[in-house]
Formats: sequence, C-alpha cells, structure tokens
Amino acid sequence: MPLKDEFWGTDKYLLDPELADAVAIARTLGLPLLLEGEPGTGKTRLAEAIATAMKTRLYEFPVTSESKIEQLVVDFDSIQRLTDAQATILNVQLQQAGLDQRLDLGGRSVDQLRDYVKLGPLARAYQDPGSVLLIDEIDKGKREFSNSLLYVFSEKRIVIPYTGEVVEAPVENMPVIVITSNREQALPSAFLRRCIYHFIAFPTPERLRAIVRLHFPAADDQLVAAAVSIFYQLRELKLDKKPATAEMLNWFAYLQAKGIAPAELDRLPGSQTLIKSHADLGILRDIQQNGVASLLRPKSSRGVN
Amino acid sequence: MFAGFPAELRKNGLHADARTIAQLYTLMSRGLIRDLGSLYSCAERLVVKDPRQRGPYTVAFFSHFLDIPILPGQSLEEAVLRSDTFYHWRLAQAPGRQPTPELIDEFLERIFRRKPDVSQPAPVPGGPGLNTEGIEVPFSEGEAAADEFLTDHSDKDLEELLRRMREIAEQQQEAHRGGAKYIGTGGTSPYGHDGRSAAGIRVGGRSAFLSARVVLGNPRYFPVDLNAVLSDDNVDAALAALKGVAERHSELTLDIDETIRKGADRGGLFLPQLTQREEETLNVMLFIDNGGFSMDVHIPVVRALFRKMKTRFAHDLRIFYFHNVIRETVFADEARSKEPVSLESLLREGKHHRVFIVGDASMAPYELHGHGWGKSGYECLRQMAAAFPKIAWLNPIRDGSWYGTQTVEDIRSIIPMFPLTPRGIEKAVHHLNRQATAASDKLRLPELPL
Repeated sequence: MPLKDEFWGTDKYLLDPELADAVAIARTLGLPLLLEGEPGTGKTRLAEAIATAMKTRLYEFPVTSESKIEQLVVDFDSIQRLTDAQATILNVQLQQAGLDQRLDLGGRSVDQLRDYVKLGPLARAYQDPGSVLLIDEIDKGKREFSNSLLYVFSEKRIVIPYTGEVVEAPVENMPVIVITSNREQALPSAFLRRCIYHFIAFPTPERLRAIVRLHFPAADDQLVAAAVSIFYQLRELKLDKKPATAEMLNWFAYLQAKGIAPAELDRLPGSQTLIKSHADLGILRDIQQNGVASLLRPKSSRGVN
Repeated sequence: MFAGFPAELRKNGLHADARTIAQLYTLMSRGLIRDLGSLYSCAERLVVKDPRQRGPYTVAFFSHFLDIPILPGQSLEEAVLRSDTFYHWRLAQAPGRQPTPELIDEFLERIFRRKPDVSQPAPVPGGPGLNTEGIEVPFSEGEAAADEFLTDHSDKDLEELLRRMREIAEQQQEAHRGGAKYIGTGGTSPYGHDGRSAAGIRVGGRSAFLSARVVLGNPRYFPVDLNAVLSDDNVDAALAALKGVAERHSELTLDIDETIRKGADRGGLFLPQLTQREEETLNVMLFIDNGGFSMDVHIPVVRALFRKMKTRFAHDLRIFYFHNVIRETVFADEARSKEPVSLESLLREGKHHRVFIVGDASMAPYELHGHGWGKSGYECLRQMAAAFPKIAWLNPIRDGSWYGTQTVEDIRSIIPMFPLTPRGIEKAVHHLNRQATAASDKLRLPELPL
C-alpha cells in the first residue's frame, strides 16, 4: 500500500484539511495520532472513518481507570492455566476412580503455553499490516498506563511473554494508531512528545452545515440553516454542558423525523437531545418560554462565527 | 535549515530537539512538506501538544523562518509591517504601493499559500507549471518575481528551504511518472474522495496563513498569558492545569481468604478469587482568604475554577474560608459566621488530602505571629504543613512582588507558594503530584514472585 495517500474522509465523516495533514504525518512517521477536543467533535469517529476508508480492520481499546497495559498488548492468563491445572488433576482422579465424567478444558492443554496467551488489540493490530488501532479516552487510565504505552511505541515490536514469540511492525506496516483524550488529566510530557498532536476545534457554522448535510443528504436547506443557527446561539449561552456535533446530529435526526418547521426551532423542540445537564434545566425553561434569541445579550448578536 | 528552529521553539517555551529535525526531514522526503505553508502545519503537528501552545509556536515560526519577530501584545499585522522582511518584499514586489492591510494579506498569502494537492507534484521553476491549468501556485514558472523575493532578503534558512523543496519536487515528479512511489495517484488510492466534493472543501490553495491568522486573532490560542493572574479569560487554562492532579484507582487483587474458603468448599479445587481493592481516592481541601479587599477580586474566579473541578473531584472537594491567616477555626460558609470548623478536626483527616490555600499572605507581622488567644496563625500553618504533605499556597500577588513582604517570606518558608496564574497552578499541581508519588513509593511493597 502506498504510504503517502491522503485520507479525505468518508461519506459519513467530513475531514478538515488540518486533520488530514495530521493523519498523513502520523502514518508517514509511524507515530500515534493523539486527538483532543470537546466531547462530541468526532475524535473516536475518526478512527472508524479511517478504517472504513482504508477498508481495513479497526481494533479498539476503550481505556478505563482499571485498564492495564497487558490487556492492550498481550496477556498471559495464569489464572486460566491454574484452573486448567486443577481440572487436569481432577480428571486424573476421576479416571482413577473409574468414572466417565470429565471436566472440559476447552481444547487447552496446561503444557501448551500458547493456549494461555491472550493477544490484546495492539498485538493483533501489529500482526495485521495497515490496520487501524483506536485507544479511546486514554486520559481515563492511570498514569502508569500511558507511561507503559511509551515503551511499547518506542519498541515497535512485542515479545509475547512465556512463549518468546516476537510480533514486529516495521514503519511501513505500522497500524494507524489513533488515541483520543478528553483532557480529564494531563498526559505525561514524554508521552506527548512521541505523538502527533491534533486538537479538533469546534467546527464553524459553515462546516457544521456541511456535516449535517453529509449525514442527511435529503435534508431541507432551510431547516439545516435554521437548526445550525439556533445550535450556535445555544452554544453561546452559559451552559454547563455545551452541545457538540454529536448532539447536533441527534437533534437534527429528531427534527427531521418529526417534520418540524424551521420557524418552530426557537423554542427548542427535542431539547432532550441537546441539553444534558441538570444544571442547564433553568436555562432550558427560559428558552421554552421565550425562545433562544431572547436570552442572548444584544452585543452577542454580532454573529455566531 | 531547521538547525536553529528547535532552539527558537524552546525559547518560546515549547519542546523540540534533534528528533524534531529528523522528523521534519522525513516528512520532507515523503513530500508532506513542500513549502512554507505545509511546513507551518506539519511542524505544528509535531511540536504543539496543547491548544495553548499554538500562539507561542506561531511566534517561533515567524521569527525563525521569516525573520519577523512578534512582540508580546503585538498583532500579526503590526509585526509584519515593522519587519525588514516585509519592507524588502514590498520594495521588490510592490513598488510604490502603500503598506495597507490588503498588501500585508497579499504578502502572507504569498508566503503561506499551499500547493493545490499532495498528489500533485510541486511545481519547479522552468518545469511544467501547473498554473496553466488555472491553479495558482506560489513559486512557479511565471512568477520569477518570487525568486527576487528570495534574493532580496537575506534569510539563508528560507533560501535553503526552498532549494530543498525544489529538489524534492523534482524527485517527486520522477516518482510520480515512474509509478507512484510516494504519491498515490487517483486510481490506486484506497481512499474515497467523495467527502471532499460533497463537503465543498476547497483543496486547492488551502492556506496555512489563514490558520496562523486564526491563531493569532483568537484569544483562545494567543493572548492567554500563562503568567497573568487568574481571571475569567484564563480560567480555562488554569482548569486544564488543575486536571493534572493525579489520582489512584482501584485494582483487582487475589483474595486469598476467599480463594481458600471456596477451594475448601469445592473439596480441594482451588480457583483463584479476585476482589477489587480501592486505593487512595482524591480528596481536595481548598482554603480561601476572603477577608481583605485585596482578595475580593480573586474570590469568584477561584471559586468558579474549583467548582468546575467538582465534576472531576466528585464529592471530595471541600471549600473553607478564612480571614488573612488560618487560625484554629475556619469556616465552611462564605460569610465566616454560620459554619465554623475546627482546624484540628481537619488535620486529623489524614495525609492523603491535597490542600490548596489561596490568599495574598500579606498582613502585619503581628497578625501572623501574635497569639491573641490560642495558637498563632504561623503555628497553625506549620501544623497544616506537617499534617498534609500535599499542600500548596496559591498567591494572587505577582511573584516578583513577594520579596520584601515579611509575612509572605515567613509563610513561604513552611508552605510551598506558587503564583495564582495558570502556570503557577500547573507548577503547584506538579509539586503535589511529586509529593504523592514520593509518599506512595515509601509504602510500596516488593512484588510477590508468582
């Protein structure tokens, strides 16, 4: 596969030129791409879109506070092996007692270490040239998690514990690694240094209209324009949880399904798709009584760009 | 050509080193860097790791590659207008024209305009120019003027850059004809190009200059002074720093008792039983001085900052108020009357709390050291420092003015003090995290062999 093809988005993902650059740079240097940005601006979607566009497999690893590097790379299931060892003894005892009953080991054998190696998404992605690996919400993990990742990235190869097998991924075959973060905690600076960084800025109204049209090709232009305009006005209010692209798309799906006219949008029908914090319910009540426009101070009417 | 660039970046507080240079060369050899426009955006991807760094990055770039220094508080237009680079360009390219904003735009546009498409070879002077197809390119055949621009100003780095770019462009053209070694042509590309047209993204001539302009004009990226005292403008930057407070989590461990009990029940078949063990959670105490007039302006911002942090700290953030100096009683209510809390009860709550004290620490020495009734404020602070290893003082007074105020010096000698600025908070958080790891290292047991 040519290394330097540019990725231009898919029929469901609109890529901005800067992000296209970032993807190309990450692939060229074989470095992971770290994406930050407001929730709902399509960080996770990007990995899916790249995999779809490249027609390759996507390996996903959602990070939680309990994630361990072994789960991502490769793990040796000692517990399963201990269980199987116990079961093997029991089977021998059953045999000696002249009974027919046996415990099922699921085809595993205690002597075969390979049976207990569990490849994580990263090892599987390394074995699958040109695939895409998504490490989602890395900021949810412990600090050790991102520190261990550093080591994995710098080595570009994995030694499977116990069996000693080596999985290697030369730069040309490196999977595209997309890492997302919501900045819940700062990542170690050594980690940042080994990533290509891109901050997904919130789309401009023009782009957001394009994104909506991409998802709803048959949508009425007037409705798109009106909905996006209201949406940006909403974002200007001091909301606790600002709605983002994902919310916009859900809201629009609702508007379309219900056949709501552009003129009705000011009172925010289908607000449940947009307002998601208890703290914002007061503002929502005002909107439903007086309309979104009424809440904007005159000076912010200079435009929503 | 890039040699001095990392140094320039470091001067602006960014991280860059020899590796950065190597990476830039790789990107050049693969045709991703073809001109200043793509250099601007590629280097940005490598160097900028935080939206706040885009401003400093742009300053470094303009200074190094264009010899245009952007002074603090200066707009891009002003900086360009005052630069020699622009002056020489104007003499050569636009003689007799006034340095209007339009001309500055033209200048920047010219420098930053990008090649129409990555899959197109960069045009070479004398080579088959693309401009015949109606696509504007900056340094192509018809624009000998561009070369004059080069010779006119004596920036060797830029010259070298463009020389390199031409070489690469030549290599690329061959590669392109020879069968798409670096460059995927339309047919072999595995990517759909539909998104582009449907979106109406104008691929040709997309300009990094616009991106630079957006950065410089946008308060989100630029004038946020990380050393300015906390205000509504930079509260988000401070918030980002506060989010660096490290946290420990629960872990799965082998429950030996349960394993033995269940194993015995099974008649000797021991299956390992796992349980979740909760580790230290994050507890934050915030003490705010809401006494003097000097503190009034800072209180709403500080409170807002830590309120926003509530989502992160969940239920473990408590705010207390004091006047001037912490004595034996602090208050949970802002008016400092309804909900007194004894400091001693807080001290007993344990080492694992992270404690921030916000105050100007400026008072008459007798207020700090005088006993009045009970312990002196100084004594109370010493007790706090002893009880909470993870403690930091945030001071809204600029750190340049700390010296000479006796009480500031006294307090600083027992509690680490940081300025109440985004950068100061970041440092304070780093300090607390270091204390946290130091404490946990001491407690760590050797791992059991399996």
